[in-house]
Amino acid sequence: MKFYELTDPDRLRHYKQGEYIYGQPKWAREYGLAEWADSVKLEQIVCPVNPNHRRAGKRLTDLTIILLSPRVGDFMWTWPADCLITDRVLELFRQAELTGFEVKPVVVEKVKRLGKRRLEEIPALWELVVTGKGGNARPESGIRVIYRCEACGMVRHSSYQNGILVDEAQWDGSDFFTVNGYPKHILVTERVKDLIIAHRLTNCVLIPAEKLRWPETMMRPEDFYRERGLLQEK
Amino acid sequence: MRTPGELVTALTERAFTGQALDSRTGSMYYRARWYDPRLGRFIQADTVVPEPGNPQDLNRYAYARNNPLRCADPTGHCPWCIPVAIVILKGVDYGWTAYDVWQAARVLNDPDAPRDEKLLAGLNIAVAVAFEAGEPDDELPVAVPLDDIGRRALMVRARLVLAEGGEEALRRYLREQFGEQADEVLGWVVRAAEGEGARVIERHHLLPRRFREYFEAAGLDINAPEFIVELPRDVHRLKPYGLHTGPDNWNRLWRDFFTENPNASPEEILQYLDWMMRRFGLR
Repeated sequence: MKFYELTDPDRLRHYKQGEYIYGQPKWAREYGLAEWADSVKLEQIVCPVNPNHRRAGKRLTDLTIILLSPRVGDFMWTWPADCLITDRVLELFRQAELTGFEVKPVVVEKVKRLGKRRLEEIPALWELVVTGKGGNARPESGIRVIYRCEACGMVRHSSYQNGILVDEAQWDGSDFFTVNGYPKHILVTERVKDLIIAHRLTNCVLIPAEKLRWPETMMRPEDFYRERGLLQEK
Repeated sequence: MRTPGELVTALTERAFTGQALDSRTGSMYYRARWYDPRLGRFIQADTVVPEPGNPQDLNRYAYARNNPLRCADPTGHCPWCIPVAIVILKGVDYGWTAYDVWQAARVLNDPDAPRDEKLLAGLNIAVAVAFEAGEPDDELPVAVPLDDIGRRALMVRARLVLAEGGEEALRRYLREQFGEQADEVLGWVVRAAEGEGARVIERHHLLPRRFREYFEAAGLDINAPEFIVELPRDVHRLKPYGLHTGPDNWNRLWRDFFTENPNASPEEILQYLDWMMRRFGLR
């Protein structure tokens, strides 16, 4: 089976035409990225052993956002890479009986450059929360556990070297799912891809999962842990 | 007694206000109707009454309200055409200049405008002022926006020269156009382009507010003095080299980081910050 990452047009900075199968870079400028309002809070995880393991956990509140402009696409995205969809898209997903997701309401607190339009005219948005499980990626991806803290449960995975390859034996069969270590990468099946393309849904991008590339601007976690002598892999 | 028509016939085929003269009948063709200079009247009634409230307009055989010294009627209908045309042309002339100067001033005041655009905007204002001040048509009862047409042509050329050869090429081009005064013009333009906007010192949050929750969960205060640096506005957020400009700008690289590592530890965040500061020349 083929799988794709469903992501935002901003990510196309790292890809050339032909490497992605759907989406337009210009959508990044047209729709922009939504910001979290001050009321959005994250859980803080504190390690009882290592203060260096303090980190963000789950989000404790529903999403409240500030839109950059009144222009709303079929998909919208936040700076921290949350995926938002409109009523229309939700209805399409439900009609197609797609699996592996649930939705949470999104409150639009403010819209910049609203002009004469009213906040109520902005289409309702839903947060697409992915519940499908892809398990561990196939070893050929290069993704493996490189560090684990038994005290606080912090787990670090190495970077992907050959895209994110899905192990179908561990995948739960959902149309939307994520693999361990990369919860912000929404992977989808061909059914989702076909539906998005058939309805020409805007402000979203589909990249074949095997073509995903680690951002050149990012240090690989395995190098970071190796430099500090913390690499736990055998 | 000699009529005006006889005198004109002897000199030219064109009559008063440049209308065609029929040498056979001695009548003048005013587009809407014929005029007989011997009678001093049109020989057909005017097809329009420009101002029904004006008694002079009710005489539909009269020429220009019987006042040819003040009014002209080149079409046979409109005694005010020439004065109205002058006013419209004056409006176009001054309006065009004013609009261009306003647009150029907006570019100069835009903190995000590139330096080249600011140079051209400053030049546009300087040339507009110089051309408008020296325009000969202000002394005459005509107004043709020749200065604006000339200025536009000069600006098109200046844009090409700047794009191809940079500021030195622009300086040479201005010397060709303005001679000795070129350096003075360019000096003013550069001062305008590098005005207050570029010299303002701004506070740059090394840990962007957009990811405040992630930083705070990792125990990092984005407002702590060690995470704020003071930068000139052009280094901070002006195109083309500002930290916040371009596709791989400061905030977008942090976005990449949190997409790959949404539960980053303080050590991982600080390591990435160190790398970012080196990349953007802040270390």
